[in-house]
Amino acid sequence: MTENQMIQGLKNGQEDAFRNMMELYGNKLLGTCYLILRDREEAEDVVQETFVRVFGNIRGFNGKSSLYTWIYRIAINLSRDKLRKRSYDLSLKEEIVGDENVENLVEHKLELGELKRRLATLSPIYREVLVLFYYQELSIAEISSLLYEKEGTIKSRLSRGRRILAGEMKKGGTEDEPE
Amino acid sequence: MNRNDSKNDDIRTIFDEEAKDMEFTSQMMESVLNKTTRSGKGKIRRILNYELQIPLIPAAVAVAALFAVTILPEGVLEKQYRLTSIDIAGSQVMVQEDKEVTRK
Repeated sequence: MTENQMIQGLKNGQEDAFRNMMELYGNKLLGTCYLILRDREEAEDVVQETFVRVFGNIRGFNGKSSLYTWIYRIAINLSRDKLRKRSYDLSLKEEIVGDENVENLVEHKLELGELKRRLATLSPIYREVLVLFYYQELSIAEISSLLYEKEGTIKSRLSRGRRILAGEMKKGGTEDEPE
Repeated sequence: MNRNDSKNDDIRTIFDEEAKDMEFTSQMMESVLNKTTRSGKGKIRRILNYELQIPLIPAAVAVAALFAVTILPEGVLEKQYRLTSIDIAGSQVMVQEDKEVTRK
């Protein structure tokens, strides 16, 4: 089933089209939401709610972005809502749009366990971008389109997230040390 | 942006490992379907969006037939002209007796 056929099927309310869509995106979407939220139950809620919203709003889908991007945008927004409810401040007042070479930022030989620990405590604003970049393997341009942010902002968050992971930043990135 | 250095591989490995047990189960799928396509709203939407595919030629014939039955004046298709030929001073004149078109 091509994407166009799937979209047409979704618009016609065909169950097969919905099944196909959920089989195609369900696991990866759930993984992404889990990595952002770090809560299995909330991630499952978000993914189910995402698919319900896809059903409810598919007639408004105009094909400007791919179906995949559109679905992920809904899921990311719902995940952010969940995070807001946990009182995370997702706004970043200062962004470093880096001219630094991000390729060379994470060079420290961190132990995998330490890296894991730092990832676990990383602020959602950075984790979200890292998950989309490394787990979803989206490009900067795709993440930018998905999050409605400038590519420079995405690069900055990615860069900053990596610096935090590398331990180069003493403050301002972890949940324990809010900005 | 290079994803392929060793530290990036580590990050990807951690993410893959953490998310490996995440499975969108058939139970979750059924739950979504019950809230969407199988709900009353979903059924109504399916009916409203149902696409009718009508073959063009039979449809055109049917419309033409309907037109002939309902729009055309009664008897117009069976109209037969009675022609009468009259000789007047060596010339033949054809006289046609026509029926009225409008219904009374």
